Amino acid sequence: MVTQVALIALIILLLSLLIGASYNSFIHRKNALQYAYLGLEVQLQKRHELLPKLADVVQTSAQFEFRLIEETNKLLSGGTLKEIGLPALVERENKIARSILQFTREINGNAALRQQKSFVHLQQSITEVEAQISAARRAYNAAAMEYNNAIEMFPTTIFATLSGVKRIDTMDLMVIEPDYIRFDQ
Amino acid sequence: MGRTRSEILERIRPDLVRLEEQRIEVRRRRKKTDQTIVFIAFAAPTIVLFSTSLGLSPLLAIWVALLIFFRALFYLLRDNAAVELQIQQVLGTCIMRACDKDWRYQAHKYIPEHQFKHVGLFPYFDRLVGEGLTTGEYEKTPFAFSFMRLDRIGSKDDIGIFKGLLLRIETGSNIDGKTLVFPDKAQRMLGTRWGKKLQGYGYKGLELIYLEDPIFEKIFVVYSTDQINGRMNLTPQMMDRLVQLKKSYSTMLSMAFTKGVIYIAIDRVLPFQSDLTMPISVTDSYDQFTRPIELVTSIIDQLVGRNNIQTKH
Repeated sequence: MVTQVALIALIILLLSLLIGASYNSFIHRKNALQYAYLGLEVQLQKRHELLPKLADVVQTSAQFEFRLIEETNKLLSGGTLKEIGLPALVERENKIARSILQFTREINGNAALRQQKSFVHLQQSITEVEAQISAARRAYNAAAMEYNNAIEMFPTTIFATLSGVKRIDTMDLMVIEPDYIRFDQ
Repeated sequence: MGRTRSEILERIRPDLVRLEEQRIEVRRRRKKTDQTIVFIAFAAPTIVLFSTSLGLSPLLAIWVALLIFFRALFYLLRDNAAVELQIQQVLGTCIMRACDKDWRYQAHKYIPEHQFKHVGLFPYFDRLVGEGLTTGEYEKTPFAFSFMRLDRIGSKDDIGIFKGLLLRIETGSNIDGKTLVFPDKAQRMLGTRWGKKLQGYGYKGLELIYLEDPIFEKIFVVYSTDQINGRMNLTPQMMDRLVQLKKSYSTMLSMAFTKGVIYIAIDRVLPFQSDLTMPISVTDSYDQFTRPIELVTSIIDQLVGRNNIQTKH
């Protein structure tokens, strides 16, 4: 009788340990994904802050189309991930990246703009921020893959089903290659 | 290293011929010292034998004889090592000057411990022996390398931590934090699942970075300050270059990326060592001396050379 009780207690203990470890692992991955997204959000915010500065440089040119600046302002006033969802967020960020490329093309085509001191600093900042976004995007996608594995694999899939969470898509975010931001001096 | 091998050989030939003459002269003097040692070796027992007639106690005579003998031996060996190091220095200076006028070679120096110890590339060690510090600039990239031997003193035997070449490259990158790259021993021994689990505990406060390149992941394990920092240093291009590097040299490679500096530890690359008893051959000396230099320049070419590391991703 004592042996049977001890055996049952041992099984319960082992099961509790397994459940606890699986639950912790699931929560760990969920938090890692959130942390990765926050990291990416910070880098994207840095990119957003660069856009008005670039606009300031190009505004000094008379031939510049002010429509671009208006469009940029509209893009920057968009909602957060929770408000607009991942596909819309990615689309908006890619539009912002394309705007930066348009600005840089404008500057590249204008010798007077290229010689501005503030511009050289901006050029470095864009390169740095884009490198950070590239790394943050890869970190997010790696965390998303881990999270999706947790959702689909036993035993963490039990907690995923109970919590009602779904697979997360990886982020196909556009990153500007440094060659495109390099200006001819 | 803009000059060709034959150009450099032509340049260094007169200096090396002069050095060989000096070595022969040193060897001749050494022969004389050897003869003196032999004389002392014979004189020592004679002193002991005739100690009583000289009025010395036999025990004291033995002590005096031994003292004279070992003192002479000590001077002989010390002189030998110093001369060998001197030859190495002259040879190194001569080859470096011919390769690139701004490169500098210091036979008795090495990359100071305080520069690389905090990086965490090597586990705890008690003893550091180094030599052959070479500094300069290649493809606008400042570099320094030296040969190191790191040991941990054990209760019975000393444990070798590292014996090879430590290279320091200044990339000018302003990426903060620290990223360490080691050969992946745990996953090779325990398998991917358990190896990864073990590595998941981190290393010296750094977290494990599991990167997207499966080939790179099979060869290396990466620890970094955080997931983003690790990926900023190890861009897809950089991972590819490290894999190529590993394939080219098939040696144990460890790397550390700190702000603006990369440290690369390459195991089992040994320095050129001069030997007083061996004649200095121009081509052999040059080839032995420049082998690590070629390794270093090709590493810089692959890692930073034409493309600035901080602008690539």
